[in-house]
Amino acid sequence: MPRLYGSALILALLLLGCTKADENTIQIGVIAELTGDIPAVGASCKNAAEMAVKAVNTAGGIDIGGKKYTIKLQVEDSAGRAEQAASAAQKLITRDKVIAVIGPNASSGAIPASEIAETSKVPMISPWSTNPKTTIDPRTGKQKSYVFRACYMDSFQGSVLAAFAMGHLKAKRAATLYDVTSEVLKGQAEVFKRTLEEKGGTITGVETYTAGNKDFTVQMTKIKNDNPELIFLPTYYSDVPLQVRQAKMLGIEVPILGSDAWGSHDLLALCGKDCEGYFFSSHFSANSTAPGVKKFVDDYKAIYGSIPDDVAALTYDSFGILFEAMKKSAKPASEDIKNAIQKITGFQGVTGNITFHEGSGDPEKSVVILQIKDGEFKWFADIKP
Amino acid sequence: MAYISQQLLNMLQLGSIYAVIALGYTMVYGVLSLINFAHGDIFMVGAFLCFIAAGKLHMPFVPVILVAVAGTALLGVGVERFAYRPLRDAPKVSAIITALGVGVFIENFTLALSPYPRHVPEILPVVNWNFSGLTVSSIQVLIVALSIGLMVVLDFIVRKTSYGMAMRALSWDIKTLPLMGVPVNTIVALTFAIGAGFGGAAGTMYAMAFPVIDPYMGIMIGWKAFIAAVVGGIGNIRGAMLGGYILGAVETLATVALPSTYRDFVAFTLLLILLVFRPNGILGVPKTIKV
Amino acid sequence: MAMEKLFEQRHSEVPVLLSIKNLAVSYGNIRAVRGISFNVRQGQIAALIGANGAGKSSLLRAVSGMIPYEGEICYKGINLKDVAAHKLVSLGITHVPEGRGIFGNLTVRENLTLGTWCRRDGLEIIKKDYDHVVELFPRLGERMGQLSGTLSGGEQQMLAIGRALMSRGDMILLDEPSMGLSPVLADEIFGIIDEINKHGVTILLVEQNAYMALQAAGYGCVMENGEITLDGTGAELIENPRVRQAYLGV
Ligand SMILES: Nc1ncnc2c1ncn2[C@@H]1O[C@H](COP(=O)(O)OP(=O)(O)OP(=O)(O)O)[C@@H](O)[C@H]1O
Ligand SMILES: [Mg+2]
Repeated sequence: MPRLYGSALILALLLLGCTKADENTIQIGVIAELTGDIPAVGASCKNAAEMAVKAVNTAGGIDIGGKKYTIKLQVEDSAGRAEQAASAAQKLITRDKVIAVIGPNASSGAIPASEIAETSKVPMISPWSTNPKTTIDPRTGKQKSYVFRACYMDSFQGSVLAAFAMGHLKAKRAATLYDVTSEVLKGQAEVFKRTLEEKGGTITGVETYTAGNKDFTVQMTKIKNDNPELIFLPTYYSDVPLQVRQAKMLGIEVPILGSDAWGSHDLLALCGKDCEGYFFSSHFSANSTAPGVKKFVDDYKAIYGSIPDDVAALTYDSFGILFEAMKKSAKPASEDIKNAIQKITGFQGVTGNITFHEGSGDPEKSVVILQIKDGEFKWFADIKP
Repeated sequence: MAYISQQLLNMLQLGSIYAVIALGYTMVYGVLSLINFAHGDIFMVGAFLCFIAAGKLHMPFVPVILVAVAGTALLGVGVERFAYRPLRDAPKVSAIITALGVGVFIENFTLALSPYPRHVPEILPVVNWNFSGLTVSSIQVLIVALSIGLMVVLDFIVRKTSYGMAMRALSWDIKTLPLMGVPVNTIVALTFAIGAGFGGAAGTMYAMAFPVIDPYMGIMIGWKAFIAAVVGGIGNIRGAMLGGYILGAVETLATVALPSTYRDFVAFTLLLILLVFRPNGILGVPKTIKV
Repeated sequence: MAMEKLFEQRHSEVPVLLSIKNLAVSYGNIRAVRGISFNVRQGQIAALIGANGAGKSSLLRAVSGMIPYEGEICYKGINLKDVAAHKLVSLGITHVPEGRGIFGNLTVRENLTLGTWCRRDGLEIIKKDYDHVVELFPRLGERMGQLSGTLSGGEQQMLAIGRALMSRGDMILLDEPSMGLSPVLADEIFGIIDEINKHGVTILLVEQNAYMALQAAGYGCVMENGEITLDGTGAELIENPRVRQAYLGV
């Protein structure tokens, strides 16, 4: 008999515990590319997410409307695929009832996931998606009101890079090579081309390839034949080393400029010495002197043993924006949080000073140009819009 | 002029790699009428073995290629022993499905060990020679020379040695061969060892030319080499070489002339048209009905 | 019964080369050979005759290890049950299978060379054997480099026998060597079989051409439905009224 009572008591406690935990816990979803083509991106995102949440929880949780809440993370894998990103978003929102979603990072996943977030009225912040379609509905051309990003956009990046190529690198004739299966990279290349031509430069050739290719000798031979002063290479970090190497093998000596798609520390290992001296745009520089960066880098390094890359930094800032908005909300509701994000101005993140304007999910911030030097990513310039 | 010769050289390099992989398909098909769809993944394992030998164990070139060839040859023999031999008398469809399954298994096995792309360090110092605008790298020379050397050796083995003769006899009639005192399983194992070893050699060369490798790298190139083998006439060794170079040329020309989105489309369309006119491939002969 | 005893007595002094006891072969539900026992003695030509589907080829296949079987097959006193098919050639058994079993994508010379796979004696001796085969079948000599698939049926049969000779076995299993040959050529082949036998090779011959086979044979068996229904010397079987009626058509 006493045993039965005991069991009942435990059961009651458990139930009580459950409801109690539910009341004081807020679920936040993360969609990361843990497997697939860009697993390094997913890993950085997950790392930074866990770090950001742990920091808040150890500080006693987050204060919303005078009440403390613990944050619980739900991490889903998008495998770098559009349909899996969409189903991950669906799962997080309907099953886990998350209050907000961070991710996916790649635009290919962020675009479909954003549709679900928008229709379900759950705020989503993509740390790394630079494609306009993530925050803008391509059919209506209207801004999605629940979707944000922590990074600047392709169009902005492409034009800043073109300005950098002509200004700092004094290159008037440029060739490009990009992966046509990637919307993002295609967008970057197009904006770069448009801006360069507007500024009086020439594009000597636009070469393309499809994902999975490793032999770029034919394209590089064409590029070499056109004699450009610079090659703009908006390609993913896993393709860059091969392209750079094959260019070198053909005796191409001109500077090579990359986009944020280069920004993974794996690039350094994959490139060996081949990428020395080249530039690329980034969202983040670990050796920046901006406030908060050093602490973030040190903490990250202490936990994961490596320097955070821009995905990690942008994920960290995405959480920063989200937490900031939550603190300013009256209650932990998606609607309130969305409104609060829209009002964020001058948020000092590790990737820069971030401001959102009413009616837009795209932040205003500066572009960091990094140079690969002595086997490291070195801060080279901050370019403001 | 330099531009055209440069593109011709690119063609030759790509064609050599396709040809060596295609030889692996053709060996196994020629002898056993089995399409070893795991071959592309064996190629990938060859590249990873090259990475381990060169990147982790810091071996020089000759041991690296020996490790890659011996390792993949062993893998090929193992795959035959445990996946294909039990199905030797089963319908061909079962063997094909098994082959696809083995490929997926190898990919996922590698994926579990190393999901990230890997950088293969330089095994041989790269030297670039410049001939009035034409840049020739030592790696290109090595790849082309090694491929042609391997093809000549293989052609010799199959045409002139007694083991080659046994392989050809086996392809004609596997049931009668034991009556000659020839150990059929040994010959089959040898065939797989050579076929897979060629995949390993191709993987090494590929990793030297394109030193970023990943577990999925064998899929597309495997399919392409398979098509090269079919175009040349699957089962025919010289056909595989020819098919490899034709595919390399068609792809290069398509990339030169067209946007990359059309490249595979054009290349494969051309090859399909070719197959309409020569269904058995360029050097293939229709299989005669036996006895 | 009496005749069988007589036969055994007459031959008992010659050692048994191949002994088959209770041999049974099945293909799924089809029982092709149903418990056969007989002996082939050293130096003999033994003929096996029987209607189509009687199980003759199945019996030969069992002996040369091509198919699984029940019962016991001993060759030179060695039980063949656990010997791999390709090892039988080194033991001295050569099988010329039904349909000749030549490798059509190989040249005539290569086919002959395949026959020497298990031989460890020097190239000199093997060279003599090529010459010997060419002597027996001059037509092959003229076609050494030709793809054997393009040979005529008769030439293929010659090649098959020639190739069997190349392995220098002590015993040759011949499955219908006269199949598809003109009477003149068939005669020639039987002459060569006799010749081979005179050189000390034991022969187990399966034939539809019962008359010629029994004439050549020292010992003969009649197979019906997977069983041996009659046996005796070749001469005895030719005289047997049942054999005459059923297989000789007289
Ligand atoms: N592989 C097989 N699968 C199924 N049944 C078989 C197989 N081979 C032979 N048989 C059957 O076994 C029986 C004996 O066949 P076998 O070839 O031994 O006859 P045979 O005496 O040599 O006839 P023939 O004089 O026509 O050559 C036949 O009924 C045949 O249909
Ligand atoms: Mg028969």
